[in-house]
Amino acid sequence: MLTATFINIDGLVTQVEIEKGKTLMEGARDAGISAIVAECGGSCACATCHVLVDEAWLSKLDAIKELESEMLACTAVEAGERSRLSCQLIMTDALDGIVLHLPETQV
Amino acid sequence: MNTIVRAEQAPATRSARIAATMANKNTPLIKNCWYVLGWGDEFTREMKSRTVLGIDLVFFRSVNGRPLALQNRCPHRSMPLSKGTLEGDDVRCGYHGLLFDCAGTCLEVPSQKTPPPATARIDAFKCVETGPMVWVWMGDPADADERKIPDTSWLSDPDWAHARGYIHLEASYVGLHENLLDLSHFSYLHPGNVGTPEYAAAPFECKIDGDIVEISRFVDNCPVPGIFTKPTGMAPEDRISRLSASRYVSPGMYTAISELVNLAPKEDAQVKFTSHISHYMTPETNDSTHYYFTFARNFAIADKSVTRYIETQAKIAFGQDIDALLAIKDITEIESNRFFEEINLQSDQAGVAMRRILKRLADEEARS
Repeated sequence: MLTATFINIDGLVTQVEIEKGKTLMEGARDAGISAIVAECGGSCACATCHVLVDEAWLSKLDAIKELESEMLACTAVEAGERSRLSCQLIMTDALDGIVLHLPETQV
Repeated sequence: MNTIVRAEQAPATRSARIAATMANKNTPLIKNCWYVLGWGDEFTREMKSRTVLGIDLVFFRSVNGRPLALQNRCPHRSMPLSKGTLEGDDVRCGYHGLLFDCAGTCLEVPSQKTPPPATARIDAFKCVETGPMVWVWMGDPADADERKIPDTSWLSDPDWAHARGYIHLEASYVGLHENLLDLSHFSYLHPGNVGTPEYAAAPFECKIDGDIVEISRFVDNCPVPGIFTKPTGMAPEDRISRLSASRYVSPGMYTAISELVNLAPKEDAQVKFTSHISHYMTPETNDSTHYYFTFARNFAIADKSVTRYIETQAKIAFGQDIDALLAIKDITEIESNRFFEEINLQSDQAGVAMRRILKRLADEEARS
């Protein structure tokens, strides 16, 4: 089973098993990580699944497309270079063990 | 529909920034689009008027049967030309008698012998009649392409019969568009009519492709929705499978397909019942809409009582939609000084995509 590690602003570390093909948002949401709000359920319309990708993993992700970029401009905590919307990141073998930091707030 | 943020209280919150990427009731109306102006039988030798996209139009049928639409406002002192007289295909203003031909050129100013100045002209709007309705192009006449008129060929097909209606909605067409792309409201806003309890929870597919947004839902076993019992001859407790798909076609139109399959048909009975339900929304102003619909079926086509039943049931269902949109409009106005942020849920995927398309089309027009 593939895993992702979520670290919230207080340093709390949660390891989550995520099925290949599911988005990292879905994995976090289904595991009850409250720091991922995922209001729109993956439609790329709410910018509440914002994650900061650990440096080592950034280059392994698919490039940001226009819609995600537009929504990243709307995040509650201003998006930086490591920012992605986790509903657009799909779990694959290559992302097994990915580390994601959670912003202070999604809203 | 997301709230409108007033300029003086526009914090740059996440929600406000997202709302700015989507159309709302204040988004400029989209001119480069074919909209339904009216039913064909409204076009007669008597002039009528109707407001479309904030422009008052006068419309009638030409001597040799063509539907025509012109600017209703006389360029002289704004008298509605529809209150004047038709002379052949020319329109004479009922105030000072200016005469306009159907291309909008002023032929005569009775108070002067000199030819009318070139500035004395009105806009003419291209009209095309298909099936029971007449479409109008509100953009640059040079861009009017008849091939872009949405397909409604089933309305002229002898194997189909249709019911039709019109509702005037005192609210923005954007909310109506969104209502049609989130069919999870069927179970709650239209219980017993088009909704059954299974409908809201049934998984749906959303396809977003350029300027087209389509949602579809398949319920594999449910009772017959109220609107379809009499027309299909099935009882409310009979079980069917139900496929419904709704597609945003343009700022002025939706088309939906409903396919019911009787899961336990009696011998010789029809098994599959197909309906095409089209919604034509023609913005009157930013805050009001002309809402036309056609409800076509390939069953019980000769039975006029079925047509009347469907028309009545459709008006009830659409009336429920309108009641909701008006209630929403009222509360939005009452709370206009409150900064309020609406949320987007999973079932809003198609609606959000559609509002992004409308915003893009409006922005493109503003730039050109």
